[in-house]
Amino acid sequence: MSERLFGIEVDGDRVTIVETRGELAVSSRIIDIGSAKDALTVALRKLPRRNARTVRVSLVSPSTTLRRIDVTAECASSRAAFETAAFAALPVNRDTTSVAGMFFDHELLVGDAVSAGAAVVAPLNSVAMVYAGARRRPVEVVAAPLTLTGFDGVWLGLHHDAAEVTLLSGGRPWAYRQLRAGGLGALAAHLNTAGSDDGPVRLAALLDGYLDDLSGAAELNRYLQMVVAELHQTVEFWRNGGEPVPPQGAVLVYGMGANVPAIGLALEESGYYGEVPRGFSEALTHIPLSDRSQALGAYLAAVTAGRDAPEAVFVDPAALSAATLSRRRNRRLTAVAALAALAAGLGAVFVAPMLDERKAEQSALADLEYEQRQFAAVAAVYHQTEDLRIRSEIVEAARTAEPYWPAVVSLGFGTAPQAAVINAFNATAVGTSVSVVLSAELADDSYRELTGWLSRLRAATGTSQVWSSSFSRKEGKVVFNISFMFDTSAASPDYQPGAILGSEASGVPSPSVGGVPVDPESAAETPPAPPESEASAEGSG
Amino acid sequence: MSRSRRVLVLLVVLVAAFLAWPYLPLTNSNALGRSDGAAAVRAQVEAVRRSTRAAAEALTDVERFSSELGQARTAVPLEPSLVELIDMLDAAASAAQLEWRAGSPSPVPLSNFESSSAVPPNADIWQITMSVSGTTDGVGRVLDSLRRLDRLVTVVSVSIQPGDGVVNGELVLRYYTSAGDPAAIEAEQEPAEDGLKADQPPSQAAPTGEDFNDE
Repeated sequence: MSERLFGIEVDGDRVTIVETRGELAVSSRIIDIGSAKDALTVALRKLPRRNARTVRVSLVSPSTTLRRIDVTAECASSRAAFETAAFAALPVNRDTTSVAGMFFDHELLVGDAVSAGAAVVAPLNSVAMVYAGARRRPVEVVAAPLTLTGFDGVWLGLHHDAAEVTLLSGGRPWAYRQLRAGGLGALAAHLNTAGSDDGPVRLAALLDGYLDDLSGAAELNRYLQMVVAELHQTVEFWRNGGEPVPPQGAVLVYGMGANVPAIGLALEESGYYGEVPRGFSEALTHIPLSDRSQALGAYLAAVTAGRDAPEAVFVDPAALSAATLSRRRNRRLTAVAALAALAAGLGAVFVAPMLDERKAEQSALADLEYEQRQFAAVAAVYHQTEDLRIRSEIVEAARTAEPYWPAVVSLGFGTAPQAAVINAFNATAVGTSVSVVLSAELADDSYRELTGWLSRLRAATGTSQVWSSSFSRKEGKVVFNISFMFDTSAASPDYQPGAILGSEASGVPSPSVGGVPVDPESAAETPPAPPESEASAEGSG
Repeated sequence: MSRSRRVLVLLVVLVAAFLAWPYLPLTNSNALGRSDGAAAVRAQVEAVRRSTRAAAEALTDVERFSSELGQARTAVPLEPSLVELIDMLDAAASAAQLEWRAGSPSPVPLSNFESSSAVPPNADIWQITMSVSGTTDGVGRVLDSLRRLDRLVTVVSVSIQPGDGVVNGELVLRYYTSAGDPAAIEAEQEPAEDGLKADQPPSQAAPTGEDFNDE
């Protein structure tokens, strides 16, 4: 069983729907309820929904233009590229028109190849109206010229909204022109008598062969003659332009005005004649004779459904707008998702470590609180240990810098010759040294004792810069000062005062003077200590 | 304002907020949101722990610690305690059979020292002159005795003029005072509770951690 197909032609407010079984039209219906949108809705509502194929809708609309263009593979793969090429060839406003087209040799569009094609534009609002009437029913709206097929030659479409001439060659619309005479709708408007809208009624009567309306018939004849004259001019123009116009004057007339008897006479007067291909006559056998011409457009829409799609199909403006909105919404969602990802990334990079840090800080604070509680129990003891530490540091610092003074005194007095009389001993701490100045006198009028004293001082460990700062003779005595520096670190505190300074007599040289070790060689040079009596005698002497 | 511009402004605000976050008075954070609070607090925890350990170690030998603390406080008291010092000097001079008299005590300014490193830390330094007369041996003995005093006394200079049977001398001495640990001193002013000694009550001021950072 042949496939059941439906085709629709929208012409002004009239909608013609044809059902086919294969190539055979089985029924037709014309709906004219004052609004093409409503008529289309009604027509589509009757169609079976289950396993329904997309219904092709042939749109007859004024301001429809078709032009052959060169198309490339990019046009075949990109609707935007095709539309750009189409609008480049057709100087129309992109914002108010919708574009479609066809590629004559689709298979040649490979690489940089250029092929022939056709672009057709129609008013955007007409296309939108049809899609709106279809509601959610899957339809494909195509321009009427793109559905024509089955007859290579001149087609004259007498529609309500337009009168159009199409030249088909090789089964493709080769040239197309809408006539300035306009469609039958324009004639109906012209037929309106003053103060009434009876033009459409008068036109309908004339189309049905009612000839009593003489003035109407005259207007109709005048209109048809205009149409045929324009047809002739157009055909001749095409012929002169080298278009493949058949030499015979056969014209396929279709549309709601095709049944007007006067059209045949008008054509004959211009050397043309009407012709209906045999295939069409057979295909439309089951359609009432009066409706055949008018049903041809819908029939062709049915049998060409899906041909040259998708480029032949006008884009649904509402769907395009919805798609644009959807794209915007998707872009917005993408942007939001990107922002969320960015925020999450920043969170991972910055916030998470910060939170971890704060968590660690909280943990540390808890530990600190615990440790402080532990400490509170021994706080007093701790402060006492600190007190001890501070005071101990003071003691240590003071003791470290202090010389061992008994050793200093012992060194000064203990190294003096027996005969020496010490008049003054002055010692002052200077940093880590002690500066000692001894003022003494000797009865001996020579340097020997003084030299020996100096030698013993120089031999003592820790002394430095030993010198005699003054020397003079006075009343048989020598009076002099001895100065030396003593390193405090050289003295040890194991001082035994009794051993060194055991008597009030002048100091006695000793290998160990006040804990300060004396160079043994120097000590050897030192004369042995005489008995205390001798010392006293020598001192007094 | 277009949507893209709003998004741009939002991004700028976000970035600015992240950059400014460390400087907002919300956290103890520093640059790039990295808080150094945890490390600082952890250091405080360790400091408090060390302090607790130090106190606990002192408590392992309470007798020895108390003795050392008492000696340190006697050696370097809070106040000059001149009467006690004079008593000690008198005892030392008497033991060395020296006659003596004391000069006027005076604080020693820091300018007297060659450098700050020569000054014992946390100490106030005082100076007093001790004029003695007796024997050289006595001077030596008293110098030795000064080192053995309970009070920290150091000798700055010694001048001796031997005479006919009597030696006159002048010893310039320094003694020291210190506030020690202020918390411990403060605790000494309060009633005793849990200190080591009845006369050394504890301080109830728990450390904040900041107190230990200088350790």
